Amino acid sequence: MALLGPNGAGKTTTVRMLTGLISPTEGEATVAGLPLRGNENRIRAQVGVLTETPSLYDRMRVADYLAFFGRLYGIPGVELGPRIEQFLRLFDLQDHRDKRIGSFSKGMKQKVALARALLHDPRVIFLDEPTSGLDPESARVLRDYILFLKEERRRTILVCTHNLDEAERLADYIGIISRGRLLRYSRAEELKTEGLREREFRITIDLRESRNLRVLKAGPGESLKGNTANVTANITTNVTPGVSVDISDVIVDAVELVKNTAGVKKVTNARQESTSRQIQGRRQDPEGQYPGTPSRLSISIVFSTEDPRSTNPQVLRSLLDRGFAVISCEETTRSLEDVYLEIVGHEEMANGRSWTSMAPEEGRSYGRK
Amino acid sequence: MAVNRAFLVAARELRETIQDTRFVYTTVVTGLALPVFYAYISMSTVRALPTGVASTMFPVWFLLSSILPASFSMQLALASFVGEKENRTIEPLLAAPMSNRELFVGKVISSFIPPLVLVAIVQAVFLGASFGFARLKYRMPFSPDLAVIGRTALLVPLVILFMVACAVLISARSTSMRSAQQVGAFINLPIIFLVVYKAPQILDIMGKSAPDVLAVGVAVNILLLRIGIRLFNRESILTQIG
Repeated sequence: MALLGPNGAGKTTTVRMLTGLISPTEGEATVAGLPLRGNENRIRAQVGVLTETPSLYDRMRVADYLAFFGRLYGIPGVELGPRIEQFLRLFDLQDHRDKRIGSFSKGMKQKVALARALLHDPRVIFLDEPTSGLDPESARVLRDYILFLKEERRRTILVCTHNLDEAERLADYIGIISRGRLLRYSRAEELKTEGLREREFRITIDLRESRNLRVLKAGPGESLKGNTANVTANITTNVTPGVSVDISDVIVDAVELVKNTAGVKKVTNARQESTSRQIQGRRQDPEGQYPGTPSRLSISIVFSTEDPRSTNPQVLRSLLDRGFAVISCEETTRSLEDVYLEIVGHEEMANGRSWTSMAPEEGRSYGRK
Repeated sequence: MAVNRAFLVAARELRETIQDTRFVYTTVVTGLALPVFYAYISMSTVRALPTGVASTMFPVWFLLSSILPASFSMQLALASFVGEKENRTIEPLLAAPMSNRELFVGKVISSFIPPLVLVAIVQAVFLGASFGFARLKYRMPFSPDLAVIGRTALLVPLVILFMVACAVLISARSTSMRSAQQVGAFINLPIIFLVVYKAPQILDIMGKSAPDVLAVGVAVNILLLRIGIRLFNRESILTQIG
């Protein structure tokens, strides 16, 4: 589970309650099968906590530091040494095992703190900003290890993070918290489609495979070679070098088709997906190819509908009947960032706080327009 | 209470104290240089002054040389309790499966033992140096009052524990070492001054009713430590460090 929320939302307090560090004022919770009240010490033995700051003893050597916490957690002596070595190897710290922690970079300190949190093989793991300060490679190693713990070792992991991409990649469930209240708790995919009456779909059409090339026009004073109605295999090979081919009519035609289909509420976006709007003719290279021409020439159209079950087949049928090569039709989802900002922004406004005041730039608005 | 975990905490902090160069230098200066200096002054005054006065001066110097290193316990305790809060290194400790009491006891032990050892070294060096100055330099007999030495030896641990208990109380409301040390100085310095200034009377009272003095000292320390344990809890510490 990933716990998201603005600064001061109560993420750290929640973690502290669930790890038996502070007592809840009300309510009940069960951690690792143990009710929170009266089992604080037993819960602490079952959980691993990575605090917001690494909080290490700078004068200690890494191996000694891990050994100290290993003993505190009651790891038997025979297991402790190999386990320390395992984590030193995992986080690429084996060459630094006898160095004092004070000489480490922030990222290395974070790794040591993580090793400390995971050393006793906890059943439940609480990670507060686990990849903060880590270089991309180390962050990836850590993320992979978190996924390994989750999927292979079946551990429960709660990650507090501001990195929404990381939350989405790691977590099965997302919780959004603000001002001490859990505003949402569901799967990321559910969060993204939550509250939407109309759903959006993106249709992608490959023009090079489409049969309706009659709408293609040559540039001024030029003409396309060959029978344009049949040039479907590779449009670029049939363009004379130096000739521009305008495909705007193709897009207009496709958009009109979609827009006029029953059930389509609106077309919100239509664009060409090749690198340039116009195909610039190029001189053939020795192998007869035209370097620099787009390898794929497609357009995408985004439309919304309340009833995709009946509307989408009609949209597809009308496009296919007109000769468009539809290569995909997929639902577009809001990003987790959009959803998060909507939910938290709404909460902030409900509490009388100006949402725009949270924007980093004046005049910038959050959420979908 | 798992004593093992308390000792683990104490052992780690003791190791850190020993590795701290500031403590090592202080130990060398106060553990070796100062007692020799005090012993020299003490034996000089014993030689120069009439016998009655001299017999009073020796215990004072002995107590003085013992009390100064004992006062380090407050600094160590403040570093252990407040320093860890300031550096936030206490957070992982609080997350470990140990009770508040275990953590508290571990920290008290680690603040108590180094000054105690230092005092023992200081007293040994003082007595050895006094013997050396008396016999070799001044060619006079050296016969310290063993009862005075015994009373001082009993008094010093109580002073150390008192300092630690005071440090615990200070640490309950302090999150920075600087402010804690400032408050600590208000307790530390008057106690040192009082003990040194009133050393003859203290030793005299102890001579008359040592068990009573020790009992009062123990009772006061127990009371302070019990208050300290109540104040030392995860919730208040975490609230302070944010």
